Amino acid sequence: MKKYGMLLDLNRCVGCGACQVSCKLFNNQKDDISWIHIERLEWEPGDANKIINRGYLPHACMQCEEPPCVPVCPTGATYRREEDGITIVEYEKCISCGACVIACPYGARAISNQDEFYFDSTEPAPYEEYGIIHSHVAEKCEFCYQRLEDQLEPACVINCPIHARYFGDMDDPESPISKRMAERKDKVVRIDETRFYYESPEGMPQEFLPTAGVYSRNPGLNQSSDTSQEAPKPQSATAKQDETKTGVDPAVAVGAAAVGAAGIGAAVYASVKSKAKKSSDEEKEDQNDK
Amino acid sequence: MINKNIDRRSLLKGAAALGVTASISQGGIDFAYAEGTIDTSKPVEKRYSICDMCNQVPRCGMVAYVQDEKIVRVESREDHPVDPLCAKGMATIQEMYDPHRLMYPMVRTNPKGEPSEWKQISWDEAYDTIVEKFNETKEKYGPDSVLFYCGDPKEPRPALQRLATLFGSSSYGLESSLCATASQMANQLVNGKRQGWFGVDPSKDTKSVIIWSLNAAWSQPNRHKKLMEAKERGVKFLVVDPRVTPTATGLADVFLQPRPGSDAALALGFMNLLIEKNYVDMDFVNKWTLGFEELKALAAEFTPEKVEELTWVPAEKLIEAVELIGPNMPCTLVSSSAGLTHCTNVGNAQRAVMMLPALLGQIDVAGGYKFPYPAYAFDPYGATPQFKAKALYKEKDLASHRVDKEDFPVWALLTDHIQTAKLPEYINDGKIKAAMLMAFNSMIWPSTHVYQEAIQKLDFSFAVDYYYRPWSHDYVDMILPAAMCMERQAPMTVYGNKIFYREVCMPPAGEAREDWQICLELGSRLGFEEECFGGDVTKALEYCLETSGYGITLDELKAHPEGMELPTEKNIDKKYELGKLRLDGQPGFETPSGKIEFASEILKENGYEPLPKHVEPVHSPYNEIEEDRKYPLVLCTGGRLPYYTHSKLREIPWLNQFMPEPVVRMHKDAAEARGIKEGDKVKVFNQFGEVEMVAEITNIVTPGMVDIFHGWHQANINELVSRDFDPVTGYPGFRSSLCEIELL
Repeated sequence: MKKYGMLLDLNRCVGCGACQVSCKLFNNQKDDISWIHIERLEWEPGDANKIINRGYLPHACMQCEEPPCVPVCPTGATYRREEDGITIVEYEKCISCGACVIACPYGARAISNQDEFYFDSTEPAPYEEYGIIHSHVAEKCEFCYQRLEDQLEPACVINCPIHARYFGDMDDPESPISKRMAERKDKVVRIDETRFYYESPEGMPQEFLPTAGVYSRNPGLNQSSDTSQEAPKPQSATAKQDETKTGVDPAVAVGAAAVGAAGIGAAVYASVKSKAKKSSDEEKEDQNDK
Repeated sequence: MINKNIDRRSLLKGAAALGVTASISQGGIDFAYAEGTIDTSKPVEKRYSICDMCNQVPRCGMVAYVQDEKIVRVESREDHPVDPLCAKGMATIQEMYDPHRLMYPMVRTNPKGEPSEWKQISWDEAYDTIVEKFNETKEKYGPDSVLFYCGDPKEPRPALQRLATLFGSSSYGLESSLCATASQMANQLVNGKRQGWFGVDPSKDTKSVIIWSLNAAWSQPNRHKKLMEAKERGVKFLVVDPRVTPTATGLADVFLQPRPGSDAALALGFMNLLIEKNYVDMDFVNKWTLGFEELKALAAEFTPEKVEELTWVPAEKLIEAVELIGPNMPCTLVSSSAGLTHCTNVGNAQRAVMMLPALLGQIDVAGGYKFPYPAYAFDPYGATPQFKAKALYKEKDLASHRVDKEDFPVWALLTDHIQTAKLPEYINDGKIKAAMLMAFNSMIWPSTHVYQEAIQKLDFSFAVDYYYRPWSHDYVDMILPAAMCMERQAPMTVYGNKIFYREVCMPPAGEAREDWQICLELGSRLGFEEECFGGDVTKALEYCLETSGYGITLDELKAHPEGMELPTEKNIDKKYELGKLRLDGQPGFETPSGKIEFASEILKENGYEPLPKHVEPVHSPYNEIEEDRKYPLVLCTGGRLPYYTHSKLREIPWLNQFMPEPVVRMHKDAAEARGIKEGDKVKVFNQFGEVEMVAEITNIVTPGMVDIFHGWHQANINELVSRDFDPVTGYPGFRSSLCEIELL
């Protein structure tokens, strides 16, 4: 039994996209979706001396302890592995109903509508052929479980040039994540009841953290009071992809903030700027595992 | 091995039939996927190469997973001097299989200056033409009339330099005309001739770091990792940058955000406070420097209030910066090749910054501004002086007839590559008539069209590239297809005292050939068969190893993929006391005076201002140029992005997704004043040119400036940068021009 978890240090993250590109390569993702989303964050400095008023925040599946995407799956294609807590999708069983995409409060799931390979080719390039070619199925981060079986860390972890990601078995005190958490102690925040942790820079508004509803695709579900002010996006029974330019799903706005318009890297980066208001403390209570 | 246990489940619900090769037409030639299916019964092997996606100085280690002679995955290489990769490194694999790649040599069939039409030719035909034209040109106009130029990647340099020198041409030109050389020169003029580097990363002994004009977070992310590690162990950081970069947000204890182009004023103000507050090591200064009294008098003019006026940095911030650094010794300085340097006063400004370690008494001490030592026989590309034909260059006295030596005498003194700033003049004056342009990009130059028009006028020129690039190749006669980074064997790479072999992970696509092979084959056909090893790259590498004197063979090196160590010496402190810095073995520094020069003797001798004075950029909000008054925003262009390098990589989907189109980053105050909102289409313009971009409203910049990434052929911001050059280095003011912005 392993208790896999991941910690992302936002002090270190520079928004370079290496994690997202590694993820796309190792998981044969098509051009129109992305398992990882990277938010570009900006806020007014509260303290004139602090120059930390911008940052980057990658997020993907949080690997919930009790994932809401599992019970809604009609075929049992998606399930949580008992041996390590990773929730995966068995593509052969997926019927692309989209229920899991809507159920996820973190906006972590996507369904690709694309048949072509990169460069509009009907033929896969070798890196597209190697691995699991798939589309029209629900997909999301699976902590690279196949790599874990080979004693290799997830692709995003080893390819992060800043070593901002820490991974491993949280029951093993010698694992990279355990050691980092021991060093950084109270600076680390757990996201809800999941296996994902963040260390956020001093001065960054906590409402930017990817807790339930903040970056959800579905404004009607699991919302904090902030996000309910955003106009809901149209939803249909099947997962509908946003019609953005490059096809990589942008995150929904947070709070009264504006999402960067298409064409300014909105596809992977969403630009998020908070106004002065803070979110209610009650909502934040459950999110920290101290 | 990766992914060996997974089921190969291929699920394309509703997919179109496979097996039809895609073909994409461009310029009259059909490009097709050169791939077939992989035999999945074959084992997956690891092969080791280096990445070339950025400006290529880091040479990050890369693992290619190869199955059935096809690269199926790439990954960062652990236990390598430079790792992990970044987004661009991961995207090399997508670039390699881009069906738009050039697959064979092509010659143009229509006049230069129009959208190109190409005809495929054979390599023999290509070489025959080049040899004929180059010899003809040499005959008529002399060997200097043929330019040998290399852009990015930098790997071709050693072989190209060898070729140029054998040919007899002193016209060897590099993208360093606008990149590393100015900072190298600044350090050389201040700290000594062979100190052509620009900063020392913190070591375990360092207490504080001045980062002046470097954003490693985006220019070399794995270097930022090391800086963050230093931060986490308690090292203090002063960061100076006009933009709030991740370097600033991640590292800075104090952050100074100056107006681009005002760095000399800021540095002098910093010095002034160091002197006032007694943070200067007067023992060192008195014994080992020249010109302190004049520097002190100059710096005294730059009070915190005056600095605030000129640089936009609040006086109390400057004081805070000095108080952060002053008490925290040892202190080191880190700068970069670009940034501060792209102003028309870089000869002074960068020198001023390079003087700070001397004032602080941090010269060549552990944890401080430690001079690298020893010098190895190899350069970073595993090439020796013998391979680069340095002796022949001297013997033929090529330096004496360089085309740039009158325009930039100090540059000519300190380098062996020409300053290409005045390339159009050299072409128009008939001094350069033909060119070999490897990895070249016309947009590197300010007022690009002037260079495009000049290159078009050459009697003959050819390019070597991965792709057809209209903005560069519409002005040349021929293009040769280059092998990509994982398809190349040369060069070896050297990191300090470690040398690595580089494997060919996959044979080059189509008829592409690697750069060293092209240079050596051409050299052989130009009459230097023996000196060019008959075009054999392996023999060239063996020659490098032989001439290094370390006794390593290529077979040995291949057998050690983890790298081999070169014999080295301890790098002791204060080598200047023991005569280890000067060629004559005397104590002191390798400068005319033997001391660190605040007032440069070399500059004085060549008629330049010896002190690092503050001079406003040619186009500045504070200058008296009438026309400039219409363009109040400081235009800062050329900053790095972690997913693009210069004009490269726009066509790679994994990288293009982050910034699909040209963007101008502006402050909300500047935007509001112009009725501009996020995402609006805007015109960025000045008296020299205009481009169309999308507005991004961001707090990365101050209200008085905008930050624009360059290299977009459809919105070439360098057209707005005038051909005004720093007198010492020849650098243009990419980071310190002016513009206005209007809603479209």
